[in-house]
Amino acid sequence: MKIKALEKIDQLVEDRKEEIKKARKEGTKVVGYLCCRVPVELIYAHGMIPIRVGNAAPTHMASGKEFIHQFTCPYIKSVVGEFLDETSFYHENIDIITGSVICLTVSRALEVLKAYTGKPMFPIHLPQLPPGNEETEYFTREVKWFSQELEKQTGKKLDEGKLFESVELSNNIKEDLTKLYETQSKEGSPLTWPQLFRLIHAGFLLDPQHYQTLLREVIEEIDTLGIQEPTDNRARLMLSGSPVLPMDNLLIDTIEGAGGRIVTDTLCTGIRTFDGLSIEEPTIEGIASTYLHSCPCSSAQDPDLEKDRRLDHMLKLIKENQVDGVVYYCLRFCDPFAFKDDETKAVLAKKTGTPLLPIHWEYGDSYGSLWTRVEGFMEAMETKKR
Amino acid sequence: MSVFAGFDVGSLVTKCVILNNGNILSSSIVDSRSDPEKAAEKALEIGLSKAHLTKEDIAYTVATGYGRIALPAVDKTVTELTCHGRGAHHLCPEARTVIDIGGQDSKILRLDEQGNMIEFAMNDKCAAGTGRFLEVMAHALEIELDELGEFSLQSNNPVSLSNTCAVFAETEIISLLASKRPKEDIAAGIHTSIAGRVGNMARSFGVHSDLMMVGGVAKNVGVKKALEDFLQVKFALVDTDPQITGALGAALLARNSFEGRSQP
Repeated sequence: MKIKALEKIDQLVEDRKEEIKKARKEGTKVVGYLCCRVPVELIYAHGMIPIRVGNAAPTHMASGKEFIHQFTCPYIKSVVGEFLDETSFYHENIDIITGSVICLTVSRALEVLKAYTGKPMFPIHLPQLPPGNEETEYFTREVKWFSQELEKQTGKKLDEGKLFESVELSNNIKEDLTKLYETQSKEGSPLTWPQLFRLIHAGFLLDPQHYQTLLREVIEEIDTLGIQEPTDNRARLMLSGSPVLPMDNLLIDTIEGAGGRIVTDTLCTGIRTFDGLSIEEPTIEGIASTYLHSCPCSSAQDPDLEKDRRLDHMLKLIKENQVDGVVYYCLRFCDPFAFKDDETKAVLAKKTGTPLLPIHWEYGDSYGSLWTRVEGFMEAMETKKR
Repeated sequence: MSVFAGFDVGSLVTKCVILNNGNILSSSIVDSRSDPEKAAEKALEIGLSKAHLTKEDIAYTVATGYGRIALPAVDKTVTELTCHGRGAHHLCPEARTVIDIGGQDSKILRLDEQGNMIEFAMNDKCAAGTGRFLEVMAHALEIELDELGEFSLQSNNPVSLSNTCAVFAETEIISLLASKRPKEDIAAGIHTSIAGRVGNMARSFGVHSDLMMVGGVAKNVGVKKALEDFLQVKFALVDTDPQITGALGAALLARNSFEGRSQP
C-alpha cells in the first residue's frame, strides 16, 4: 500500500548528503562504519556523524576486485569498490573509518580502506565467544579505546550529557522501529517488510532527529490506515543469512514475486540494527554490554549448540512471527553463514519443524536458477500445508 | 477425450508430452538453446502430429523448466522440481528419492506417497555434474554424446579426475589423451567424477531406498552405473524415456488443474 511518508525517503537522503557536505566544511567529522555492531550513539555523542557504508551491491563489485582479493565476499568487494571510487559520496566525505571486527573479511576491508585512503581507521574487536566476564571486560576496553581515539580526533573530552541525549534518541528510534516491525508482520498490515527494510537503510545516513520525525510520521500514517482485511494467503517467510545490501532487491523481489511474503529477518542490515540494542545505562560500559549481549551474526562461535544465541534469536522470531519457512541466503565466500546452513536447517527442523531453503549466491548469478529454487520451496511448503 | 500438454523447456533441449487419461499419447524432444518459445512450438507440433491431434484438442497446458516463463501461451507454469517429482511418481509410485541430472543442473528430490515434492537440493551454479559437463567432455574425447555411456563400460581402470570444473576438466582430459590413457578409461573417469559430485549431494541430503534417476543424463548408462556404485543402491527400472519425466509431470499437472483437483 502507498505510504506517503515513505515517498520522501529519496529526497531526505539526497538532502542529507548536502547537509553532511556542509557540516564537514564547518569542521564536523564523518565516521564511515562497517557492521551493525558499531556503537553509533558514541559517535554522535562525540559530535561526529556516523554513516553506514555500502549501497547498491552489484554496481561496485567489479571495481572492488581491484583492491581486495577476488575470493572475498561480494558484499565487502562492493563496499570497498564503492568507498574507493573517487566519485562516490563515501570517498569524498568520510574522514574516519571504523568497523566492528568479528569476521575476517570486515577486518581485511578496514585494512584495505586504510591503506588506500590513508584515513584514520579504528577497528573495534568483538569477541567471538559468548559473553562472559572476560569478554565483557575485553569489549568494554575496545569501546573505551574507540571513544578515546575519537576524543583525539575532535580534541574534546566525551560529554556525559551528550552521551545521555544520544543514547536516549537512539533508544527512541529503536523503539519506533520495533513497533513498525511488529506492524508489518501482521496480516493485512499496510506496511510491508520490503518497505520497512528500505526505511531502516535510510537511518544509515539520515540525521537521527530527522529520522525519528520520519519514523513518527510513518507510524502515524499507518495508524490512520489501520490493519486491512487480509487479501492473501502467502507463505510467511524469514530472510536470514549474509548481509543484504540496501538497494540489492533481486532476492527480495524474487521471493515476493514467487508468491512468498517476508515477515521477518535476522539480517545485519535489517532487524539486527535495532533488535536487542536498547541501551539501559548511557555509559561506555552500558553501551559495550548492550552491543556485546545482542544477537551476533554467524561469525560468532558457540561451543554449545543448545545455547547458540543466533539460533535462539531465529527460533524466537520464527515463533513470534508465525514463520512458515526460512530463506537462508549465503553470499559466495561469506563462509560464516555458508558453514552453518546444514546445522541451522537441522536445528529448525528439530525445534520448530520450519523448512529452510539455502541459497548460495553471488551477485550476477543466473536469475532463473534463483527463481526455480524459491518457487520450488513455495511449492514444497504448499504441499506440506495441504 | 480431454488431452493435455506438458512442456519442459530446458537449457539444452525442450521436451513435450501429450497426455490423455494418464496415457502418454506422444512425446518429442527438440533443441532449445537459441529460442525456447520456438522450440516449444516445434515440440508441440511434432507431439501433436505423432498423436494425430491438433492444437484445438489440447484442453490445458503446463510448462516447466528454465524457459517456462518464456512461453506466453501456456495455462500455467510450475517448477521442474515439482514436475519431475510428479512424473517420477507416475512412472514409479514407490520412488521417494529422485535424482534428476539435466543440461544445466542436478537436483535431488524427496517425494511423499502422492508424488508431491516435499524437499529438494540443487547443485550450485557451475556446470560440474550436469549434462553440459558431459557434452564438453564427449567433445574433447571426440565421441558422440549418446555413445559415451556404453563406451565407458568397456573400462576396467577408470582414470581419476581431479577437476570438477568443466573448463579445467577438459584441459585435464586433453593431457590424459596426450599421455595415451585409453579413451574408455577417461570416459569412465568422467562418469565417476559426476557420480561423486551428485552422489555426495544425494548423500548429504539423505538417500532413501526406492531411488529413481530421471533427466537427460539418466540415458547415459555409464553415469547411472557409476552413481549406483557410489551410492550402493539400484535405481528403479522404468521403460519410459527418463528425459521426458519433467514434461510428463507437467502434463499430469495440466490434467489435475483442468479437472480442478488440488494442485501445487
